[in-house]
Amino acid sequence: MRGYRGFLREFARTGSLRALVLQVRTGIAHVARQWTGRNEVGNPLARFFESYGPDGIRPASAAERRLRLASEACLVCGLCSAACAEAGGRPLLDPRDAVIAAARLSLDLRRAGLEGLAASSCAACAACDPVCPQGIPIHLVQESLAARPGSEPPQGAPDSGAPAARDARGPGIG
Amino acid sequence: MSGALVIGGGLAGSAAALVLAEAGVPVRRLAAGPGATALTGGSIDVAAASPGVPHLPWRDPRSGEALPSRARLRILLSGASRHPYTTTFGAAGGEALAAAFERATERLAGWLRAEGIDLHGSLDRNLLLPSAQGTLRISDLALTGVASSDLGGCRKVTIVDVPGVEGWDARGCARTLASEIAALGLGPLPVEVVRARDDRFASGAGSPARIAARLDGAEGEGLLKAALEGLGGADELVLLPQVLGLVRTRALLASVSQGRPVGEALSFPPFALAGYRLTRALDRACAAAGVELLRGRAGRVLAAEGRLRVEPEQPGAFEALEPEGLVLATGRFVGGGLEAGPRGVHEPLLGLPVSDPDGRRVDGIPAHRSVRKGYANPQPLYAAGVSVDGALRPQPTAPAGVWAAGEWIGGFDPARERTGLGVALLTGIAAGERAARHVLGSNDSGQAPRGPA
Repeated sequence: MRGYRGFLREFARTGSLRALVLQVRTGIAHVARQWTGRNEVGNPLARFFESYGPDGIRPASAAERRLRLASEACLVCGLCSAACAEAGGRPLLDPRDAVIAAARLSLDLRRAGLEGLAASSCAACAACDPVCPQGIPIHLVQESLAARPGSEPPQGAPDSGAPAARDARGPGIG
Repeated sequence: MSGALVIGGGLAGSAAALVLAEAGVPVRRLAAGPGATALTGGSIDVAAASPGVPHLPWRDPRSGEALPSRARLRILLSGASRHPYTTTFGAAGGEALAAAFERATERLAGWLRAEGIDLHGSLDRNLLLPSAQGTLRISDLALTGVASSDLGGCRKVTIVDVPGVEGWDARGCARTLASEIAALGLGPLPVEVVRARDDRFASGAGSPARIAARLDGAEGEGLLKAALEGLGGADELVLLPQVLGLVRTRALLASVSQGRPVGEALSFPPFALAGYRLTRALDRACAAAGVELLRGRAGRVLAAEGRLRVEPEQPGAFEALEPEGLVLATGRFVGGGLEAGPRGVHEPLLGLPVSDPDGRRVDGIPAHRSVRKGYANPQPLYAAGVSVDGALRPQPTAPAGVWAAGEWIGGFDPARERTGLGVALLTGIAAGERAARHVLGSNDSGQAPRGPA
C-alpha cells in the first residue's frame, strides 16, 4: 500500500493517465482481494504439498514447531558434538547439524532421498542434552528428524513455547 | 538445607563450589548448563592485551616496550573504575591483585591437574597464541594443548594442512599469521604450510570433535604420530587444529611431541574443544571434591526472616533449596543471569538493577536500544551486569548471605577485554571464601578458614 499512496504524485510527475488508471485499479483490486480472501486458490495444504512435497519439505507438527523454537536458541557452540563423540556415538547427522537443520525446516527425509538419515544411527543416549548451554533437548531433535513421515512426534517434547526449553533432564555435565 | 548453594556451572560457580567444599562446607552446585566458560578458545585471559581497550595495552604507550599482564593489571586498576578487579582490589593495589591471581591460578591448576589438564603461563610473560584464523592473541594463561603453541622463543611455525577438517584452513591461517607477525614486529619467524604425511587420523571424521575422539584411542594416537613424522624440529612449532583428544590431551601431546613443540591453535566455537575439556574437568573436580551437582534452572531467590529460599523456574523441577550461604555465578546472556525479553533486559533471580560501566541502567530497556553502531565500538549492553561492593555483595539491595561471582558482575565487556575467565576465577574463589566464612561462622565458634581478604 505504501507504493500505492504516491499515485497522485506519480501522475503529477509523468502525466500518464493510463498509469493512473492502472494504479487505481490495482489498488482497489488488492484491497478487495484482501477483504474477500480470494487471493488463495484451492486448499492451501494441497498447494503446499504440490509445491514443496517433491523436495521432502512438509508442514511442521505442533511438537516439531516447539522443537524448532527451542532449536532457534542454538549458539552453535559445538559442545553437543564433543559430548556425542566422547560418548562414542556415531550418528550420520552430527547433533549440532541436526539442531541447525531443525531450526530451519521440517524435512521429510525419506521423500528428500535421505533414507540413511531417516534410519538415523543416533542411539538416543542423550549425552548431548546436559552440555547444551541453551537447554535444547537435542536427542529429541534427532529423533524428530529421523521420524517417519506421518508418524507420531517423539514423546516428551517440551510443552512450553519458550525460545529455550529450560527444563532439567537428569544428571550430567554442567 | 544447611550448607551453601552455588548457582552457575561455569568457571566462577565451579571455583566457588570447590573453595566451599575444600573449606569443609556441605555444598551443592545448581547449573542449567555449562555457561559461557564452555565457549573459551583455550586461553584463560587474566589481563590479556586487547586491541582498542586503553587499559589493556600491548605496549607501554611512552616507552613502546611490550608489557606483561602484571603491569597491565596496574594500568587497569587506574583506568577502569567499575571493572570487577577494581571493585574488589582497587584499594589494595596492583601488586595485591597480582598476588591474589597467583594464589587463584595455583588453586585452579591443582583442580585441573587431577583431571588431565595443565594451566601454563604467568603474569610476567606474554603468551603469543596463534588462532585458527591466523590472528595472534597476546595472553597470559592457557590450557594444555593451546599453551604449547606459544610463539615466544619459536624459530619457525609449521602449520599442518589436514584436508576435510571443519574450521581449519591452513593456508589462510598461514597468510594471516605471517602478516600478524610482521605487524607486531616479532622478527624473522617463517610460517610454512605442510600437508600432513598421512591424514588417516582425520579422514572421514569431519568435525574436530570426532577426530579428537578417535585420537583418544590407541590406534588414533599411532596414526597421529605417523602423520607428524619428520615435521618441525627443536624450537620449530608444529601447529594443528584443536583435535588433540577430548580427554587425553596431556598424554597425547607428550606422546607425539618428541622433542619439538606441538600445539593446537586457539579456536572458536563450534570448532573449539578447549571449552568442552575445561567444563568437563571442572565438573569432575567438583564431583571428586564432594560437591553435589544439581541440574536445573533457578527461577527466583526469596529472602524472608533472614532465610534464603531458591525456587525452580519450572515448578517441580527440583525441590526448593534453603541454603545458609548463596553464591550467584549465573553469568550474563549465555548463562541466563541476565535475560533480554520483550520487557527489556532484566536480572531474573533477585530483580537487581543492571547497569553499564558508566553507571547507566540498561534494565527495563529493550536490548537493541543499548547496542551501538560499529562492531569495534564499546557496547554498553555487553558490558552491563549487576553492581557489587568490595566484598562481592550484590548492590544495592541483596539479602544477607548472598555473594556474586563471574560475568554476572558488570563493569567490563568480556568480548572486548577478554577478562571474562580471569574475573570468573578471581571472584569465584573470593566469593567462595566469603560464603565459607559466613556458613562456618554461623554454625560454630567462628572458626574462619584462612584466605585472602
